[in-house]
Amino acid sequence: MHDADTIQPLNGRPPYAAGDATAFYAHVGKGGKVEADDWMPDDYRAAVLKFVEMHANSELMGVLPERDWIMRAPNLRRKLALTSKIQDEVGHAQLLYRVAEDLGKPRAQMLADLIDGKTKFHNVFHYPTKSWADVGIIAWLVDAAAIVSQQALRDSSYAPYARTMKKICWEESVHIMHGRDVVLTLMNGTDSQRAMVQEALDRWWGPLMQMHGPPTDPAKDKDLHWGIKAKNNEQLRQEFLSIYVPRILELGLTIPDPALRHEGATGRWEYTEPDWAELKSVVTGHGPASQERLEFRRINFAETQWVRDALLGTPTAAA
Amino acid sequence: MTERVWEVFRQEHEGDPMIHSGNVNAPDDELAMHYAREFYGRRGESHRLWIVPRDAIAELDDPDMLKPPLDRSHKKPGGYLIKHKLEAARARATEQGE
Amino acid sequence: MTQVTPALGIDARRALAELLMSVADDEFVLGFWDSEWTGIAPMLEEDVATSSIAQDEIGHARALYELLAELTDDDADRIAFGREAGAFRHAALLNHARGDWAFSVARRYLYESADAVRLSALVRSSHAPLAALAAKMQREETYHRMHADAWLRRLADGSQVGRDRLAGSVKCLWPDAQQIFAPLAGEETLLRDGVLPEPMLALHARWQSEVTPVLESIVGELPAAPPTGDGRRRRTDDFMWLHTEFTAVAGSEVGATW
Repeated sequence: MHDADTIQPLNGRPPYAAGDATAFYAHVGKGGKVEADDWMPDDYRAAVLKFVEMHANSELMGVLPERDWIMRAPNLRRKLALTSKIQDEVGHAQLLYRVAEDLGKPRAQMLADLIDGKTKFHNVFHYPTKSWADVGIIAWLVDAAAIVSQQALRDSSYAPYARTMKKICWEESVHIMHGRDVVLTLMNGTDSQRAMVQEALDRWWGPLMQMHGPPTDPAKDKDLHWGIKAKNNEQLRQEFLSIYVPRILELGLTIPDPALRHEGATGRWEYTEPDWAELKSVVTGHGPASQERLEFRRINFAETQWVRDALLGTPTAAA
Repeated sequence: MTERVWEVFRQEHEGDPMIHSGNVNAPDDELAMHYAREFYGRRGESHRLWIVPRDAIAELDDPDMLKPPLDRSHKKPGGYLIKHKLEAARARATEQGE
Repeated sequence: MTQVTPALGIDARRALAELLMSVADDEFVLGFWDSEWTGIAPMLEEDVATSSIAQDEIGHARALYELLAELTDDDADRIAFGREAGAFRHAALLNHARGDWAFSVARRYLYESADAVRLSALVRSSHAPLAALAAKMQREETYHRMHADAWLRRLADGSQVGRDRLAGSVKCLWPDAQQIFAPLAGEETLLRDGVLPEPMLALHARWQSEVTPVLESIVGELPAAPPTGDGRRRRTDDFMWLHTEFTAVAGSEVGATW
């Protein structure tokens, strides 16, 4: 036996050549990774940008429902935790806009498109908040539903996004604990506090069930096909239900869906069909708080424009 | 002044390697330092940060230079397959001793 | 480990409580106003920085309220969220709502510079728990001061709009900023015992000599404005609004835990 027989030379060939889209898709189809400076086909670049930009928008708009309560947090620890949580969401927006910026779209343009209603953000952030229990339900369950899909994104073929998702998931796990702690404290409190949690859950359940989107045909889902995301909508919803339905029920809360049950034979959760028409209407800017939230962003963005101009010496807003 | 991208490298514990963590936008090095501190140190998770303007980084990713195709096995411990040679040497030594 | 509070007479305890409450309320109220920038600051990077500073301020308030609670056999959250608006002792500087970015920068510069002078005295306090806490706060305030200085310079040198807004805010806040050094009820007792190593008026003079040249180079001449006896007792509609907000949930159900 010769040494040379068992030691393979390094394979010095790049996985795909610049301009070769077929080889590129074969690379990502096999789990290969793409970096910001690598050559990529325009449709892949556009798909990643659209996906990451909507995620960034969602983090930024997701700040607002909880921010309704930032001045009303009821004790010192909650004040610190809620402020810190909202700060983290702003931080996530920055991390994601940075990823999107490196794909070629300036941040100012993305912010302008968001406040002009040209780009979207997640359905759950189009709804108003009504009580302190919303702070708990959002941090616990909305973040939990989000983290299920975010964990799957740690495997994204677009490597800068995958790396960012690792950092974000690590931070989100703190938020879920904060939310669960708020809910547990209320459930162990007075009758009216328990009623407040139930009322909040009743309001948020519909949007939560819609959040991952309607089931899609995996064969036609190019985000899935190209490895931008790793799991389909229904897989994510099933995963959320498996973990969180037992955790909700054990607190003595009632889930407002009489059809919800775990089907032993299929291993699937059965549920009342979510209102997909509502989802479509909400994410296109017709939710109960959509316009108010966008207007709030517009006003604040305009009021701070002079600061960006003073700092950067040039107007930063794009048309 | 215009906005620049600054790459941030983080050392978790004293003596650890500096690992790339991400990047921030800032118009100058003073604010870049503040923002790096926020994004990569506000939880007390860092011992040290390096903050580098992106355009100061030279990148090399050419596989012809980094992963050349011909054999480099003599540069790595795994390139030396001594198992059978050692067995033969031990057998010979044992034989001689008898 | 139990903290041994040195045996203090009733006057000394009352005076110490007044001192702790004044510093804690300053940090608490400023922390609330500054936290309102979370999510809407001029840039995303800056948003995160400003929020951290607001959280530090609330954190300092919490530590100070805990010292106070130990002294008065009370509870930090009860002190922070359970008092009537009139019982707060923050300086008049903190009576104003958040305002625009220039207003927040001007207030933070005025506050951080004054707080640094105050902390440099409190680290020498004869009340050991206060001296130890002040030393910890001083370490976090290093970053706060760097940040406030950086923004003051940027707004002063960035654009005419920025400079005008900054100058207007400094002039508006200047008289009320002096009230950080308003004489405290029981100050003689604090000085006698070394709990407060220097009179408020001496700290005021040192602060003024530090900041006046810096600010006058931006806004022109600033009027003499000594601290007054009611500097920590005045309340405004802005503060009444804030008080209604932060007690909205905490005060919504008697005896409930949140």
